[in-house]
Amino acid sequence: MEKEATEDTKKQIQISYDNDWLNAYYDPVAGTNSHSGSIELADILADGDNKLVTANYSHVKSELKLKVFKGASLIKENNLVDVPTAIISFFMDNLQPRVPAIGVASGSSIFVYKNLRPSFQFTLPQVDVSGVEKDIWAKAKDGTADIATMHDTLEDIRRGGQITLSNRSILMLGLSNDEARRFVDVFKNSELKRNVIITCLAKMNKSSPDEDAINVLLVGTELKTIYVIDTEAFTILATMECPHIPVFLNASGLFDVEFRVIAACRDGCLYTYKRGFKSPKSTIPLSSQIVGIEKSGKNVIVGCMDRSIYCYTTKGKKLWRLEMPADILTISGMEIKSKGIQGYIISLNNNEVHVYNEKNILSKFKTQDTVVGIKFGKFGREESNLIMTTRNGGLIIKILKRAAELKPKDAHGGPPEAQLKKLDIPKKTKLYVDQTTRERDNAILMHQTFQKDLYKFRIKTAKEFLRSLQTSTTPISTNPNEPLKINAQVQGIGPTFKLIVKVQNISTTAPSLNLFMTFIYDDKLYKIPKSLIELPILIPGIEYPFSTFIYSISNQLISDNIKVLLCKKDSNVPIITAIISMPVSEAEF
Amino acid sequence: MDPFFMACSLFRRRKFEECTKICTQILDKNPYDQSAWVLKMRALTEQVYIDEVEIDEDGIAEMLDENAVAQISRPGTSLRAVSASQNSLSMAMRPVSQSGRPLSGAVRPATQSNRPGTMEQAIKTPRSAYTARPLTSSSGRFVRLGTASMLSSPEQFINLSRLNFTKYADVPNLAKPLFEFIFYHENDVRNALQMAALATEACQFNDWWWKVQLGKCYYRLGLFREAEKQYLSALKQNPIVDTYLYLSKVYVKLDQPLNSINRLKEANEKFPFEISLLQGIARIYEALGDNTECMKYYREVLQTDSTNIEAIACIATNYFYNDQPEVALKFYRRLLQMGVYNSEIFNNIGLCCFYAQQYDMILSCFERALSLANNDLQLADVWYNLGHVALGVGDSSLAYQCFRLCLVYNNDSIEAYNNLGVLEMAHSRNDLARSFFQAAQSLGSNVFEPNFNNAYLAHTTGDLQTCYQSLKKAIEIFPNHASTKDLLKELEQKFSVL
Repeated sequence: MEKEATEDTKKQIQISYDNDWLNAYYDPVAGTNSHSGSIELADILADGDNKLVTANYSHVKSELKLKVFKGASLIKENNLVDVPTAIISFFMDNLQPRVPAIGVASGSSIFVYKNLRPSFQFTLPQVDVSGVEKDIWAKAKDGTADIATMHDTLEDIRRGGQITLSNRSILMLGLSNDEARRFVDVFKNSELKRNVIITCLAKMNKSSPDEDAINVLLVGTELKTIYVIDTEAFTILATMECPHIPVFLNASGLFDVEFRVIAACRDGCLYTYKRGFKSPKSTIPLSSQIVGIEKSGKNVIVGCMDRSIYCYTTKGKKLWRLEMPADILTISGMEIKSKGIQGYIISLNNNEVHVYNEKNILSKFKTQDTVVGIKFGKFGREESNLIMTTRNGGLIIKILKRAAELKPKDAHGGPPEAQLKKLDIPKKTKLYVDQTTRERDNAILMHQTFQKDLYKFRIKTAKEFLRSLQTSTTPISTNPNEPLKINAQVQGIGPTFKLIVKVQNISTTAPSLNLFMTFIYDDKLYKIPKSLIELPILIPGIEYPFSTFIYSISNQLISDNIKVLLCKKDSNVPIITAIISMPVSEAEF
Repeated sequence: MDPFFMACSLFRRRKFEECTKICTQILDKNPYDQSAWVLKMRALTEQVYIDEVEIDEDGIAEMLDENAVAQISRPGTSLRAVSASQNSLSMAMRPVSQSGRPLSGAVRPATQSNRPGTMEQAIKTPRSAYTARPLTSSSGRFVRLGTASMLSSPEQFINLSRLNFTKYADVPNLAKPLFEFIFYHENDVRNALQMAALATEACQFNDWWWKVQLGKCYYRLGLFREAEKQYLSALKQNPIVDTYLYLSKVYVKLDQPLNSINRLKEANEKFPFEISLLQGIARIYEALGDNTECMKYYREVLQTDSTNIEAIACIATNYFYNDQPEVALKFYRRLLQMGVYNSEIFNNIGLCCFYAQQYDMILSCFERALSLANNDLQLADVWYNLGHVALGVGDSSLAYQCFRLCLVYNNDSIEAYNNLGVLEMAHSRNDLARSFFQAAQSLGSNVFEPNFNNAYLAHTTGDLQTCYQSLKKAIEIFPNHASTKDLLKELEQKFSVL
């Protein structure tokens, strides 16, 4: 048994110390608080040297930053106005040399940076608010609305779920009456509009399949829409309606020819769109919330909160499911063209990162911290880098060894290993055989003796049980009139102890009334100041604690039992009793 | 007859009270009679003498002990965090004591108690003489024996505060009895230490005996590193069994069980067939939860001394919990033949008979166990086991009565509460069952069954929150429990589903 256990651990160690990767860099305090969607690798200076761009979120506004790393060193930092939700690198012109722009989505705008400098801000058009809400604010403007009723109507609308409120209304709902009044006074005159908050970004090529061709951006918003934005002129080319708010987007194909967009939404469904359609072509409902999506060939890989990776065809047919040992935190795609490897990388809550191709694990390793953001690609001049950001803002960079062969590792057939393990069942001894022979030979006699003993034993037990009930020495009473349970504990090291008695009414309906608690003790040894405790009405099912102090007044190191009696007024027999063997007092009184 | 000769003779015959009386008379006549003075000291010491090697109950003050080097130790190297988690399935096979150690075959100091993790836990632990109770070092056996003898002789024999230690330290014949008197009779460790320090200096650090005594003093004072130094130095001069045992105790205190075992093994090479050394090794292995090694050493003990009760009992227990009750039965019968005649032995034989299907013997054994029991806890145990027999027979109302009787004698019996809960659950009286499980949960923090059962009950009634909380507790106590893990997985799936 033990031997096998050690073998088992050895095997695990072999896999977890995977040597396909070189540890290039680890900085636990790099300050890169970014998720997979806000890490980019791009040649933003067009010098053939890919830079790492991360957009960092934080609660502190001054720490909202866009950071650019060259190798391990930070070369540029830009302050951000609002919390970034996603960043993306894209080509927006046909100029030579090809310099990609970086788009940072935050709030309702996309900030475009080029050559390490901010160059353009694109804000999504604002949307009109619903008529009902407009009416409410119009009344507020006139000064005819009462703040409380306004609050209530807005709250009703919010709960109704049919209409999405504007930010202003939502902010107002969170305020107290006084604050709300001031809030309304300040804002009632400005025009009521709804800002469109961006949730995610994706890109696809516009008309040419070349790698450095002009892109269009796909923008998912809180308004349940996906916009396709032309990056040359920054105009909205197309709008797609989503049944729910999209949080992850994946796009492939060419916008002008044929494309397919997959959107993962907050209702736990995947929706696929094709060129020319405003509404989704197919819907894939999942059993759990989505953590990330990735394309693998023609299929979609979805990581879910139920620790599973699912694979679906774009038509919505489930192909397979993989279960992970821990919660999945993020998923990112991986492609090494030179080796013809395509796969995806997932990070788990137990500090492990796994690399998969379809459902075969290619590599797996432990990281120093929990990885929340992953990006695989060319960094510097080196292909095949793995950039990981950790939960505490650390940065880990690993390089895939050139000699590494990423091949499926656990392609084992046959029965699972556990089946081969032998159970540790002791052999039947000779003694046992002898005893069974005895049993066989004297079966009748043994049975008779046992049955006779059993009858006697039943009587004895019944007598004892009856006696215990008559003397009420049990800690549980099953008397249908007063079903109670008592349980006492002593705390402390002396000379002062605390006695805690817990009483519970174990009937289902009837409360217990008119009870009191008292103690039997040796008054030469102990002093109990509160020797009678009156119990309140006891509601069924709730444990009521009562406590009193016990002073040990003897200077000899001896201890005695104390009896706790639970009695009913006007009855001369206690209902139940608990006996406490007192510990020896550590100090003299 | 010369009264002093008479006193010597009485001392040899271990009639210490009378010996003391005669010496007192001699001293009344001549207060400067050194021989009478020494004899009286020795007689008084012998009365309260305790074997230092065996006393090992941890006190409440021990919790504040910071001698253990690693707070989070590697598995198998510490006595602190020993639980069934290390040997995967043991908890389901072998019950644990209230402090979470697997049950041992023999009750010794420290088999019942465990080092409590926190002060709060220590104070909270339900405490009676038989349960896991932390004692303070002051209320341990040392003081009680000391004060008991003080009470019997109201006028003090030697006033330590007036004693000039340097005067006696030079005279070895006087120094050693005086030291033992101070150490055992007066139980004044500080003065004893001062005495020993002066004496060892007086003999130019050449007497190993004084070093051992210094070690003992340091040990009592909780200065384990100093004690270790003294013992090691004494061993260099004169290796004897006792010193090795003391040293092993020091390492146990320092939470270095492997070191302790190594020392004992080293001693075992020098003194082969020495039972106390082998027993010491076996005990530490048992405390570490390493049953195979433990059994190996207990067997070695039996090879040397075939009547060693502790070894027989421990081996029997091991066989019983390893599913070979018929072998265990044989060991217990051997104990009975050796003259061990008490409630526990009949209880064990009854159980072995039951599980080895020798039905004609069971109830008569238990009956005898009931009649021999001399305290409530033994009665509670026997009734609890009878409850299991009743369950085996299939008479659940009889089992119910037995468990209730167990509770009469021991109000804190976690197992009985748990089983009552299960019985109530089988009769689908869920509210009652829940209250029993809750009682069991509140009583014991080291038993996983009530936690799991409560979770199971909560799961069937749809109270997933309680179910999850109880499961978390159960898995903390017994990480390898398959049913808990299954249920937990099911719950987690349920929670993550939309």
